[in-house]
This record gives sequence, C-alpha cells and structure tokens, in this order.
Amino acid sequence: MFGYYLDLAWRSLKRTPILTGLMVLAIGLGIGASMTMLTVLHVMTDDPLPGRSAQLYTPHLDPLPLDHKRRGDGPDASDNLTWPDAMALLKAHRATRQAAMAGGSLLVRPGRTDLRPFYVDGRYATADFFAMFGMSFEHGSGWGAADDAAGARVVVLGETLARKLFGGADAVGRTVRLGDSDFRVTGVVADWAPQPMFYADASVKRYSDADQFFLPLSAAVDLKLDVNGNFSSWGQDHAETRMTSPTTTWLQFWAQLDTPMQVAAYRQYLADYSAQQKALGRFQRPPANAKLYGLMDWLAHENLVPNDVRLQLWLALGFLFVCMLNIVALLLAKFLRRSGEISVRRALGAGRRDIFVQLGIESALIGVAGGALGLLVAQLGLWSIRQRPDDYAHLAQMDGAMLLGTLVLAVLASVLAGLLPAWRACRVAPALQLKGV
Amino acid sequence: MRHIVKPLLRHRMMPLLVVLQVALACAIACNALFLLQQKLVPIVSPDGVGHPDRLLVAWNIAPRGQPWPTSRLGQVASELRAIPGVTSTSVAGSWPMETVAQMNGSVMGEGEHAARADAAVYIGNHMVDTLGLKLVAGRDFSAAEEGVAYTGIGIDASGPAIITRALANRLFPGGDALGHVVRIGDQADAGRRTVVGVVEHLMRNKFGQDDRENIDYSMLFPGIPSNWPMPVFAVRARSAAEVDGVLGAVKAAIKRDLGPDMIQGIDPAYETYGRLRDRALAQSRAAVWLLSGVSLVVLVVTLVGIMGLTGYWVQQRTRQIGVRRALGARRRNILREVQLENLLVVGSGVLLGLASAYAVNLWLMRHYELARLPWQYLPLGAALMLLLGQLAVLSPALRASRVPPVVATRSV
Repeated sequence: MFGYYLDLAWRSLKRTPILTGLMVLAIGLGIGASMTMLTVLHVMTDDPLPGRSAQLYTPHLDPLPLDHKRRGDGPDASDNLTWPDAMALLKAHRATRQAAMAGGSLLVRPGRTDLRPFYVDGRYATADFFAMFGMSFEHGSGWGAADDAAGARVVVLGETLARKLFGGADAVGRTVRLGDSDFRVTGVVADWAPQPMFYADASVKRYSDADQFFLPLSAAVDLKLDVNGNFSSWGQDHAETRMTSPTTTWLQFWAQLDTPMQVAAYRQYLADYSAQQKALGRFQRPPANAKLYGLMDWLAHENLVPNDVRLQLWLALGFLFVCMLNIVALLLAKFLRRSGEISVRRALGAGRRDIFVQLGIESALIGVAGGALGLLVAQLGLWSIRQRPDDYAHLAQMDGAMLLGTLVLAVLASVLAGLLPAWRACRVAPALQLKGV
Repeated sequence: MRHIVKPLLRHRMMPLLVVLQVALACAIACNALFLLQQKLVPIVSPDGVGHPDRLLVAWNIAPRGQPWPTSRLGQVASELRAIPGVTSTSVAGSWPMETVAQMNGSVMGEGEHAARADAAVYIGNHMVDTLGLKLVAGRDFSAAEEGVAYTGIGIDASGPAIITRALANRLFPGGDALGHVVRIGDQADAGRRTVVGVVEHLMRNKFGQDDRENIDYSMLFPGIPSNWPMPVFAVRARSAAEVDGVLGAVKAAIKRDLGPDMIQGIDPAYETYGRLRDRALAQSRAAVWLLSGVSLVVLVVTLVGIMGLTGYWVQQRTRQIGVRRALGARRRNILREVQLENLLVVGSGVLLGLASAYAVNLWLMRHYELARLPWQYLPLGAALMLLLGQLAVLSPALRASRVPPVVATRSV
C-alpha cells in the first residue's frame, strides 16, 4: 500500500510542478535558515570535554566586602579566586585532582635565526592540570608538585609550537625563551583546544585557538608574567603585589570530583572554608555564597552565546513557521481541489484513514525534497557564517547529528503542515462531491 | 457588505489561514525591518571624513615599557609631514573606525538640567584637516591650542573643543553652541571644554543601537594625549595616485624612528581609512544582508500563500459568480468584491499582526536589550501588508471577473 500511495503522491506532485516547487522551496528555505542557526547554537553550547565534563567542577567563593558594588558592565569580581584562596583549596586536596590556572600571552624568542619573535597564548597552571583535563603527551610529561612548590622554570609545549620551534626533533630537555626567562621543556602535548575554552577567564575570546604552552603558576607569579584576563581588586593593591594579594581575584580553579558523595563533601568543604574565613574576619558575606558549578552549569551561567546569535535563531524559527503556515495554505488548496478524486476513492471503498495516510505521504514527500534543499541552504548559510569576523565563526560546521536532524525536522515540519489539510480533505462527503463530477 | 462577510464566516478555514499568515508575516517583517534599519545606520550615515581613500592610518604602535613621550610622537609626526605628497598629519589617541582604543563617555552641557549625550572623544592634533572634516561654525584649533601639554591623556583636562553639529543640537538645543561649555562627566573636577568650532559630521567609533543622530555624537580635543600607550598616526595624501608612495615612506619613517623601542612581536598596522571603515562595518553589513533577505523571503512566501488560497476560494465559487453575473452584476462589481473581501481579511490579519509585532518587540526588549519599536513602523507595516494582499489577490480577482454568466446555466 505504501508503494502505491507513494506512486499516487508522485503523480499528484508532478501534475502541479510550480506549486510543488514553491512548497519545496518554502520548506527548504525555512529549514535551511533554522538549521544554520541551530548548528551555530549547537557548536557554541556543545560539551567541550565529552566524557570528562561530568566530573569537572569549578568552586567559587565570595571574598568581596559587603559594600562592594559591581560596575554595570564590568566583570563579576567573584568569578575568579584570589591567590590565598586558590592555594588553600589546592593544599586541602579535597578533590581527586585540582588545579589553579590563569591565561597569559608571552613573547617567544626562537633560537632559530629564520624566525622572528612572536606572541603565543598559553596557561599558567598547577601540576594536576594535564591529568585532570585528560591531555595526552606526545613526548615527556608534565611537572610535579615539587616543581610547583619551587616555582621551577619548566614548560610543556603544544605540538604546533614545539614543531615550529624545533622542527621534527624531540623538544624535551631543550630550552625555550619565554618573555625574559628561559624555561626547560619537560613535555609536548597534542594540540588541545576544547571549544569553548571553558577554563579561561570570562574576558578573553572563548572560541579562539589552543593554548600553546603551559608553565607552573608559581613561576609565573615569581616572574610577574603578564596575565590575560580580569584582575579585580577591592583593596589598596599595587601592581607589584596584586598577584598574591588577598583582595584581588584573577585565578580560575577546577577540581575533578568523581562521585556524588565527593561533590556533596566538596560543597560542604567550601561552606566550611568560607565560614572559617568569615570567623577570621577576612570574608564578610554569608558562607552560603560559596558555590560549586559543574562544567556545563558553569558555561550556562556564563552565557557565552551572543545575543545576536540568539536573535537570529529566533528570526530563523519565525521564518520556518511562516513557511510552514504557507505550506498549510497551499496544501489545503491543493487537497481540496482534488475533492472529486478523493470522493471517487471513498466511494470505491477507501476509508477515511486511507485517504489521510495517502495525503500524509504526499506531504512527507514534499518534506524529503525540502529537507534535501534545506541541507544545501544550511551549508550555504554556514559558509556565510564562517566568513563572519566573530571568534566562533570557524566552528560553524555541521556534524552527522545535525545533518540527520535537518532531514528529520524537514519531514516533521511538512507532515505537521499537512495534517490539517489532510484532515479537512478526508472529511469530504463522497455523495455530495460525486454529484458534481 | 453583508454578502462579503457572511460567506467568510461560513467557511472559516480559508480566511482564518490568510489572517494567520498575514499576522505572522506582519509581526516578523516589522521587527526584522526595525533591526535592519538599526544595522544600516552606521553604513549609510555620513562619517564626515573627506576622501577616505587618501587618508592613511597607522596604529598598533606599542612601546616597550613606558608610553611614548609626546615630544617624540610630535617629532615623528613632523617627519611624516615632510614626506612629499603629504598635506596633513595627526597624532591621536583614538581614531574613527579604529576600535582597538576607544574613548567614550557621557558628556553634558552646563546647568542643573543640562542635556546629556553619550559621545566619542578624539584627542589629537590637526584632526580637522587630516580627517578632512567640514567646519560649519566657529574655527579650527589655533597653533597655541594644538601645542597644549597634557599631564594625562587629556580627557579630564579643560580647554577648547570642536563638536559635531548633531552633538551641538543635542546639548544646546535651539542655540548657538559656540562659546558654551561641555562637561566631560558629572564629577565636580570633570574637564570643562569650551566649544570653539562645530563640524558637519564625525562618526563615533563605538557602534551600538544607534540612530542617525547619536551615531554622530563626537568631540575633538586638540594636542597629543600623553601617557597613552596606543597612539594613532594619520597622514593625508594630496591625491589618490600618491597614496602608495606615501604609505611606503610612512612605514619606513615609523619603523626608523620608533621601531627600536617597539614591543617585539607586535607589528604596527597600516591601512587606508576607506579599508578600515569597510572592515569595521563588515559585521553590520553581513547582518543587513541577512535581515533584508529574510524579510524579503517572508513577504514573498506570504504572497504566494495568499495567492494559492484565494485562487482556490474563487474557483470554488465559480458557479455563484456566474449566477451573480447572469443576474446583472458587472465585471467591475465582481472584481471589486473579491478585492474588498481580501482587504477585509488581510486587514484583520494586519490588526492581529501589529499587536503581535508590538508583543514580540516587548519580549525582545526584555530579553535582548533591544530598543522600542518606533510607532512609525506600525502604519508602515500595515500599509505594506495591505498592498501585498491586494497584489496577491489581483490575478484571482481578475480570473473571477472573467467568469462568463453562462456558467450559471451549467450543471446546477
């Protein structure tokens, strides 16, 4: 029966090529526009570390004084941690793994004479960083807790930077000049660029390139290296001492917590720590302000998707709705025009259900063709988005799930649009229509 | 009228679908066109800069350690001025269309209830000549004023200022701005600037939700900002043919004079003002294409939908129309009738559409900090939709009017 209905649908669509073309075009454009923006939203809100993100948490304390007011458009000072708090959390060792970190750009002075000095982005971090985020080493390894304590001048390079500096040769054990100091390479990691860069400070571009070097946070503090990101001070802090000041936040902190019990315990620990700091007079706000965010919750809290993108998504969905309504109108006209044919089939014994299914298949066929067109339109739309100057532009690519989603959405939309016309058409009274044939 | 309304009420489905289509299209089109107009503002507004292809801008000149001393910047500027083919040079803290460094703030006139405006401040020497601005009142800064030595950037210092006509009208409505004082911020020790000149246009370098007036709110202060790490050099060439030669000489001069003390790894950027403007507006331009495309397709799709439905609706009533023709109705009567019917249906769709356009705008205002939809868009959108409806009904209506009376005698 399905084959027969398909044949009927095909014949019916062929009879009115212009109308069919218009409907396919409408659904193609609507689906194409919607899928373009849905894909952008999808890649921007995707899990940056699948498989690991569920175990990663970021603790937040509220060390701000009671009378501290956030400036309207300024960053939230309690988004980051102060040096003393980060070190306390680190030393407490309440999580399976934990690391404090901050971003930085340093001038690399290559030993090779054919390369000019250039700036690279990287991260100042503590020893657990690599294992916690599951980074894989091509050569060598990270540094240990002893290096952290000593502020050792060691560095782990990203694969791209290592190849640029040392060619194919093994970089481990070699020396790199970063800023004004020499660092000994202890390892080379495969390029690692989670999108968005969930662990970075809120003020930097989150969909940008990978970090290319990693060095001990303690060394960065010793050398007073430049930090990318917000320094928020509420005390009388001087540029010289602000890195280790208890009234300046600038550090990000992540912890790996494997079980719900660990998570609950960590929450309790944060509240206890805040209460203790409050008792000591350092914190003024209630200990309940201390929070522990899961990775995805943190990204939702940070709201990385720009308003323009959300607005364009709404526009695209509204557009799809206009197209669907248009198809409802055109299908209604088309189906009701065939009242004569339908009543003949009804008179010959077809039930209302049969007519309904037949017309439903016809709508679905339009949906399939529209979905195929929609894929093309969406590819075009994504291409145009990749030409935009925004930092997320390069991510706008469709994956398999979105590809399949496009077709499913198109068929769903067209079948949904066909429901009302098909229902109206199958209620045609055979006798009344047959008289007029 | 009754014979038009009655059948509409009896067969509710068709007119209801048209009403819905029109309402939705109206709501989307009104808001999309409003967004489009906002994105269009920086593209179509005059920026006041004369001969943008002859103006060369150099920025990203980062000093190692302390900011460049103003004396040294002035020295470089006079060397640039000596390059053959150069008519004017400027050293400034920020530059139109160059968004790395911006100085923006709330400025106001004098008095208790002074008007305020969010304006861009450009501090630099010889900017009127170099930008090619058109003075409409007052004078350019004098040599003595250009020679001012600031202790800081200069934004808090008092002195003379040149403002745009739009800003003058905003701060000093209905009066001559010359000689009046503009306060830079509301602190007691805020800088006070006396207006000595008014220029026709100068665009600010921060784009938000602008209209054609407030995008033109800019001020010029004379002199070279001191203690400012990101200076901009601008050079105006005498003719377009000399631009390439001047560019090479400018690059060489800046590299020779400042190169040894620049941060290694950060290279100065050079561009003509025209290219700089193109790049700064790329995002707005992309949005304009997107929004105009969507609006157009929404309207076309709605047109097609109305056409399809009305066509069927007319075909359904062929026999009735034949009867009416046989009873004496003229072609013109039938045509008018179908058109009037469409006007009624589309009209009710428009009413619903305007209400939802407003509701959508309210929702967008709450969630996306959008501006309020100006009321002018509502009658505009209504007229557009009614026109669209009449366009869609034209061919079915003509077909209806051509139904011969003889149809009435067939197969009744």
